[in-house]
Amino acid sequence: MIKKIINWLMPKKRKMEENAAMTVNFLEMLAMTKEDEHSCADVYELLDQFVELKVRGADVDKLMPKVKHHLDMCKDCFEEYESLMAALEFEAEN
Amino acid sequence: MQNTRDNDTWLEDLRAEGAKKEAALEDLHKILLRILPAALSRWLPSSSSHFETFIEDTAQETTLRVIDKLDTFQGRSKFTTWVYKIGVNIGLGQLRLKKWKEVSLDKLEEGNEPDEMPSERFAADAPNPEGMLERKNVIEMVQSVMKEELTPRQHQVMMAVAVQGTPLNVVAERIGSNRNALYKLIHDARLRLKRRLEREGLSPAELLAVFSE
Repeated sequence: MIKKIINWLMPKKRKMEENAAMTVNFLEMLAMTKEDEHSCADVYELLDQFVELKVRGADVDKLMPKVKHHLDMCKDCFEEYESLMAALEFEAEN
Repeated sequence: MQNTRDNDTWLEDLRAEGAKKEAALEDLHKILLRILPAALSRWLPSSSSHFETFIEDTAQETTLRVIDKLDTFQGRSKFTTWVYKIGVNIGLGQLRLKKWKEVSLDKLEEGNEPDEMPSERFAADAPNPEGMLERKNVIEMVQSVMKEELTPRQHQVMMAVAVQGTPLNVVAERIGSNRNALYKLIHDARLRLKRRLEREGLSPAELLAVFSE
């Protein structure tokens, strides 16, 4: 009987956890949302410059805060940033 | 192989005709074949049987796009860094489309990578019944605000991208849009939701606190 009740409750618990995760995800994004944000195209234009400055050790968060903010918000652009960093690091070492 | 050209020489050689241009194209191709594996192997392991073909295809497509976009290079970085940026954009774009090829848009909205949902985080720190009720109320309130404030398209894209982590360029391809337009659509959606919460006298930080108590 107890097992039956647990089995009945588990999917509901799982659903509740997923809804909580989704809500937290949304709220975290809303907390980071700004009125004026760079678009993907804006960031693409500046990404090579941003990554070169970063590799040279410049404080890019201060120099190009809107690029940094977009990279925190956009997974696609962040992956391209990481790849470009890997390319320049490899180039510097070889 | 050393990159011995400066930015101006790259532009001059690639705009030239005949042997000078051929030599520059060949050098560019060789550089791409050397650099792209380092840039992209995190997303497609170099041990994969498709890796070499993938790198070769990406290098070729990058070279074509570089020639096509040569006049847009503004000299903000080294010419080769600008080229790598184009290569990375092309390579990752292809890999994302391939990875998500079999997943329908309906599935993207539902989510096909449930393991990415950090549900354990919530199971481990489940609060008392009163706290659980408070969380349930916030979840319902957020869902209801989303239904009221977002257009069906905004809701669809938000669920696929922001919740399930589907790449923007994959969703863009499915719905006949582009990555930039989708980011703007999501930004508008986020602003609408944030302003609505503000009108209700609530802040995202305040609501998030309910989940960390």
